[in-house]
Amino acid sequence: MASESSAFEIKPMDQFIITPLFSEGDLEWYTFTNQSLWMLIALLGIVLLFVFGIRKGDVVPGRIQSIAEVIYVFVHKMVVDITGEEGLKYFPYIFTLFLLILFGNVLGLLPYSFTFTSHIAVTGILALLVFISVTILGFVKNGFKFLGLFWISSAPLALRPVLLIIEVISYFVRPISHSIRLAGNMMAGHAVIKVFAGFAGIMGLGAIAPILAIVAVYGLEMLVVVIQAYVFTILTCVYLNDALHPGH
Amino acid sequence: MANSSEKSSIGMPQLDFSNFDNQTFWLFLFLILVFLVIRLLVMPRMEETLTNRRKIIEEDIQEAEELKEKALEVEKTLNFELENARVKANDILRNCKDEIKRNTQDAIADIDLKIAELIKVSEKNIVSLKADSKKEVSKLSKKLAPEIVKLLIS
Repeated sequence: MASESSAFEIKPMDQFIITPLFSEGDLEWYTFTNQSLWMLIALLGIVLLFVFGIRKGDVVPGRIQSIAEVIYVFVHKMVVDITGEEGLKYFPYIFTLFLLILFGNVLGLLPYSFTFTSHIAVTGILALLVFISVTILGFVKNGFKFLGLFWISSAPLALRPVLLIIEVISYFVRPISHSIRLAGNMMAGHAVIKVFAGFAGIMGLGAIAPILAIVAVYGLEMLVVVIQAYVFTILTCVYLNDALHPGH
Repeated sequence: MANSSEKSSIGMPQLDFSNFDNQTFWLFLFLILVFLVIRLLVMPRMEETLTNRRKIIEEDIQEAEELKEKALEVEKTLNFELENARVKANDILRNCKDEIKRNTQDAIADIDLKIAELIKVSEKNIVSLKADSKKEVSKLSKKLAPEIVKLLIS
């Protein structure tokens, strides 16, 4: 799309380019980039809200403490509801996932920011970590009974081999759908906003239309970023539940 | 890394595999940092706050229940006492009425007796007075008769 004309050039994907911040030249594995910066900001935001926000530990919480508590209790309840009490052992990691993704998504909505959750590398690693650890956990907890997850004993015997193939495929597709869902949502929303912003830049007074569109899409994105963080976390819980109770 | 230094993307920067090592490193670093923050700083404080609140609420509820029970007990004793007092008051009232009635009857009987006595005495007096007066009249007439005769003669 960049080659169409030089006057009308919208590069909606440029916002996702990873660039080194304090050094010139090639990216090494340790180079501090704009992506690392926004991960750092997410970490600081988490510390600000969840360490300083609840430091007082009031019985009747104030505003900041209420926000932190609502998020904490929300994820806590989600883990208990889906995986049961024994899933609580993995709550710290699930909460870590949720907070990192939530803050990455929400901070990504700030103008000029970088959305690290829009990168397949990031979400792919997060999803792979969940996939691998859940698979290992399933075998450690249940031994070979874990394979019963693919052998649907409630289905008619004739159907089971077919279901086995479907279940196995869907199991291995999990990390892909898990990661691309998040990254795709983040990338699409930001790219759409950028495209509208590009239109606004060249339309003069008529720019009011794309600006209104940006407002609408931004509102939608506010919803989407939270929902996607929620979806990623709840799917993690569902996968964890499969590993803990493969019987159903 | 020729791509990123040109500041212009060809296709999706997400599919530029050359910086995956960098992304992986920083992601793992911050994942571990966030995990440590949550495990070591957030969860203990949060759990403490939440259990503390739960405890206070439970204690308050328990206290309220105890107070309610106490109030019910007090109400029960109050009702009991009230009933007792009413019964007692009724008793006292009835006793008083009885006594008053008895006293009045006694007094009436007494007075009747006294009146009867008085009547008897006065009847006796009347009888004796009547007798006396007859005697007196005859005495007087005896005394007056000569006088009257004397006057008639003169």
